[in-house]
Amino acid sequence: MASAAGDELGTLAAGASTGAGPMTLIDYAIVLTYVIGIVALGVVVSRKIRTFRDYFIAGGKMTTPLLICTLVSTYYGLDVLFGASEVSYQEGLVSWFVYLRPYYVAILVAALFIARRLRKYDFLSLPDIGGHFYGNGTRGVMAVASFLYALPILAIMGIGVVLDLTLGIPLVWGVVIGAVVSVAYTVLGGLVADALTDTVQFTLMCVALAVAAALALDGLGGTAALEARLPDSFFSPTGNYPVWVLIVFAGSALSALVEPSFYQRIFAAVSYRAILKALLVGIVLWAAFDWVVTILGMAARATGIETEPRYALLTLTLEVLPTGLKGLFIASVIATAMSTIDSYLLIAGGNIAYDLYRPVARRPLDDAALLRLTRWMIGASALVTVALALFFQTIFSAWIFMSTALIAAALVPIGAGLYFPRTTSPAAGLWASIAGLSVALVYYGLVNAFGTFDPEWVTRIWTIDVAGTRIPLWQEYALLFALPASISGYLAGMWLGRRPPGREVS
Amino acid sequence: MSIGFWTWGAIGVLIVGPVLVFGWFVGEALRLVRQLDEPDK
Repeated sequence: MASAAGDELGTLAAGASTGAGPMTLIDYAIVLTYVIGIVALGVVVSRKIRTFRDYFIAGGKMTTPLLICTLVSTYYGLDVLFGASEVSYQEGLVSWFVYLRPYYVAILVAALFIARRLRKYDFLSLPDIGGHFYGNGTRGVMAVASFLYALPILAIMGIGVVLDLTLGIPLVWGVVIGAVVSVAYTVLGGLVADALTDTVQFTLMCVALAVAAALALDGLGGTAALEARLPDSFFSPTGNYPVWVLIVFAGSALSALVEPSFYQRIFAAVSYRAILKALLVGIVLWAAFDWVVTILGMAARATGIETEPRYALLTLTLEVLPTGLKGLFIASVIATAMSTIDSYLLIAGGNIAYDLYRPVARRPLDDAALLRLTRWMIGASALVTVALALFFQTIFSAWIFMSTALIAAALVPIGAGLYFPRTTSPAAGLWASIAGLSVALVYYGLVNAFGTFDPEWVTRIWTIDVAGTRIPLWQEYALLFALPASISGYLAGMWLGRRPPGREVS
Repeated sequence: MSIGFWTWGAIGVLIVGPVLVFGWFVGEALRLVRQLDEPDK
């Protein structure tokens, strides 16, 4: 039974989704001041950057509190804010239990087992690991996969959504504006500026979200009102999704084991203990944040908000926060996106300049040239990001695509290199990464060429007929084919190739 | 335990945690910047 307060909330929110937005001049001033302040900090820090190592991994001097801030806020991209609430708005608690919870397990494994091993080496990037164990071929394929994964499609798309909701700017232009502003900031500050801005936006984002959730639930009549207004399936840990989609949801969490921004921060940490403590604290904060986001998506549904699912959380929070706090919330959402864009464009630019070009350059690149080239490649990466942001129908689809590409190319070779180094050979690493990545890309190509768009699930599905049985192949199933292909490629390469003498990082 | 318990617990973590340690974060951030000014040993 809907309360009067809930009805009023729903009506107001429906107005917001038209793009008119309930922001006041004070809110706009706070947003503008905050963004200018963040960019100015990037400018100041850029003057202190002297080497590529300072720029890319903050000189390897980051301590626990800074690592907590930068890990939590970078990985709290808008994919979680909008993607998780998009799913919970449509399906309920399944968003937290299946889409988000597996990440905590994967991050725990990364903290306890992978980080310690990685600290034994002097790596700067994820593809460095492939290069060390398997040679430059595998380094190149991993760099391509890492580049695809690192493109901040979701954050750029998220800024477009925010500008659409608050200023009424069409999504396409919002995406372009977000990219231009973010690139201007990213090329300046590197990881140090990212960590500094993260300290501020991390606190703002957590507090603003918590206050918004408290006010939204208060207006709705508490969490009991959610249970009264939403169907029982919204409270099922598995929801209404087909089982294979649930497996792919959970499987995408494997990306946490080969996450380039995690790896970059592991290399940037002052010690193993610092990164371990940061990841353990981070898991608690991630779980709390994700749970609140999930509940807010459900609250938006319970209030009767009629909007695109990815707009649900933002639409609701715009309605419940008072003037001033509303502006602060939007500022922190934009800063969250910018921080994520900063981190991942840095990795994407580094993948091209440091991992792809540097090993094959005719003349060795000095530090200044490497730094300059990385900054240019950050701009190029932003162009590709905008194109992909406009291609995908949902944030969820984009996230699964990026995770699939990275897991398919990197998980098997890195896991084998770190834990079964005696099995490594250039052929094994190269075949594993090429087989995984190419199967993932071909699968996506086939489903997009022969499949049709399903408006119910908001994705492309290719239905094939096998011996009279119709099998629906979602584009998100790519991982189910790509990961076995990567394992097969590794075993075939192991069998055919010979183990080389130990390689050093070039 | 109920959804209400976990929800209000999570809201509490998000408000109390970052506020309590914000000063620590800022202190460490400023220390990092100072370190970058120092020459490598």
